[in-house]
Amino acid sequence: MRDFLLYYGIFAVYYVIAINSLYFIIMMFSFKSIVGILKSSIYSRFQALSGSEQVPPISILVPAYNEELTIIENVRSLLSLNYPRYEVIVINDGSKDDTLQVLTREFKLEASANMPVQPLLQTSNIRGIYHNPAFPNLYLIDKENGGKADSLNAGINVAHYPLIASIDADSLLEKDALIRIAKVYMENPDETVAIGGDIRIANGCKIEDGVVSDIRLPDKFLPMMQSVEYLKAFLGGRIGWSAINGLIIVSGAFGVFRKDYVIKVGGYREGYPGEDMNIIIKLHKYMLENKLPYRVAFCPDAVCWTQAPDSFRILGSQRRRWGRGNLKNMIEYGKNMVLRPKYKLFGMLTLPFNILFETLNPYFRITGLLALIGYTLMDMTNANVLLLYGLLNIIYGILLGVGALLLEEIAFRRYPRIRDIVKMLFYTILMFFGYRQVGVIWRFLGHIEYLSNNNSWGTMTRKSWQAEGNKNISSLEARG
Amino acid sequence: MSNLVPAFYQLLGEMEASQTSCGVILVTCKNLSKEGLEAIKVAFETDTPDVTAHYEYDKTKNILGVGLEGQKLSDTHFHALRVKDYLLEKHLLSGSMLIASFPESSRSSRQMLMRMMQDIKELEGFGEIHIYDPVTADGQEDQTSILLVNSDQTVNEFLTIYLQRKGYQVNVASDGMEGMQKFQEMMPDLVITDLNLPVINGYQLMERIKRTEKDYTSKIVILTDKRLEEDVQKSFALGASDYITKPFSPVELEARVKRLIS
Repeated sequence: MRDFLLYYGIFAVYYVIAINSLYFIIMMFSFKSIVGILKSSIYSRFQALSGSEQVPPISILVPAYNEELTIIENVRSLLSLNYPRYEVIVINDGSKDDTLQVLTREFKLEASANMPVQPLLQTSNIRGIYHNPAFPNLYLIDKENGGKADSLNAGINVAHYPLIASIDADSLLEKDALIRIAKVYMENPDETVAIGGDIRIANGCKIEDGVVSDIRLPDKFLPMMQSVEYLKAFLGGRIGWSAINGLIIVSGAFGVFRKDYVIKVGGYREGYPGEDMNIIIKLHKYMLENKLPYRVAFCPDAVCWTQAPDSFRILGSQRRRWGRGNLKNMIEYGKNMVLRPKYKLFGMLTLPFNILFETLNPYFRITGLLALIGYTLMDMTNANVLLLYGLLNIIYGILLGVGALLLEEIAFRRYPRIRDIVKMLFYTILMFFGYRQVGVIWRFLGHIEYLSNNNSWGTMTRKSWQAEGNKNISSLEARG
Repeated sequence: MSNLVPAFYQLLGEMEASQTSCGVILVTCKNLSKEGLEAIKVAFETDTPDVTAHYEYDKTKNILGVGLEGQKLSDTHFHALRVKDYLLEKHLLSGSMLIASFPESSRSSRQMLMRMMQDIKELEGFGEIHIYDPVTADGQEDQTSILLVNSDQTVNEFLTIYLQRKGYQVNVASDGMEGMQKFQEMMPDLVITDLNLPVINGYQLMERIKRTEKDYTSKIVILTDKRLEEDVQKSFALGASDYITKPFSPVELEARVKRLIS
């Protein structure tokens, strides 16, 4: 027994080494491509591009559920992006508050009787489409509640343009975010199926007239932690993954997709969290099965500011939701695609990585730690293994965190003050004393929720229709 | 933000519309509190009950403004002496005074006020009463004032130099909000604006200009990267007089500006 515990503990140590080494390799890819990204954005003339006829038009889809307080500000800010031709489609997902009334009053929208809706994707019942000729590029869809994915599908049915951008109703886009993403698309329009934007935490920033005017780090503990965490995930992780075309997720908060392929893979999955990862997996699957050349890109200089949860309760519910969504996607798609040569890099590297190091992470970490603690209690001769485990975790983690900060400082420098850099460094280190562990536990709890069949969206956000939604994979998806 | 200029604008506008004369006194004085301003008002209401006067104080520039309805320049001068005595007594005076009256001093009351606000900063001395000199000002008055709103610093710098050499008076704002503030302050003859602006974009700026300026004498020229016909159409619908796309020729721009102003 003792020996077993020791070996298991040593195995956990190796696991930690492996996971972090892989992260490190991915980050190296990030470093490698950041220079190119930086140069291309320096030499691009976004101002000139944002008025050009050649830029592809985009439909921005904004699912809104109980957003009456912020929706006006956000729509106003979306209507004033620097982009030649685009439309904003707000989808009111059966809000229980006055989201619909507030919008129709503010923009004097009228229900239009003859607005064509192509029945491309199945959605819950659309009650009406509102429009005002004075705001020619603003549409409002009013539908019965069906969840975020369902709202996006309804938006796709109404969208007039070949590209769609999905944006959270509580996020703010920088004025040139869309044109920067479009530039990435225009570099390779045939093959690019999806592009993710960079998500940053807006807490602590000064926001005036729907524009982030003064960029500051959050004051509070939790948002600050998330700031550092996001930097690490987006700059250290996603740039690298996109460099080898193995990106598995484009954040729901801000991403741009080719509409035709989204329709081909059956649209967004309904009634379940994790729809942002799901659509990307389906796109990979479709393109690889049909042997089409493609890429899922990431554009780190297209920035979307989002409000981070600042209480443990809400953050916990968000992380549990992510855990649920991740597990669901891995069980539904991952296990059929993993380690099959047909799926190339995505099946051979991205998915195994995701399953081993993201989905199963809590189990290895928790059990490994328990085994080591149990072993040390029984026999104090090898206590150094436990120390080694802890140290490895922390040192490697800090190294990765500092790497991400370095990327930020090389390429973007959104936080120019020395104080801010010191603060970010401090939090990068602090992250490993409590916050990370709690995150692992949340993910684990999310799995438990999933396995006990709790498919709700969680607090603060919408409750999906739990009855038949998750069982009923639409025929399209099955074919997908 | 001071409320001196907008308040007096309104007053002068009303006077101009009803074709009555109106005296203006500007005084550089020490920091006045709200109570201090009230005290001045009360003191003069009892002192000269037959004169309708308006008192405003600009905190940022430390300028007290007095607007006198229906007063000619001579009466304004007389009133200025009283104001000076009062301020001296209270130890509030810190510089010189500048007086003028519309329509004696200038054809355009608003321009007169603007010039006065600029001139008083350059006045030396203490407690001297200067009369606003329309002759030197008229030389300036022929200068067309242009407000340039653009977020591209290079364009701003270049156009400022170019247009100034062509004899225009140029002011620059780098975003829509600043543009709106500068517009209210200087009431330019012509606004050259981009459509892609931070904070408030060009369309919103045009709408606000329309709202603030009822009689709407300022011309608006759009200078932008946007080339879509929708944008051109929308700009003209909102009252733009011309639409120039970047990359642009400064010679052509100046020619178009000239045509609009003459």
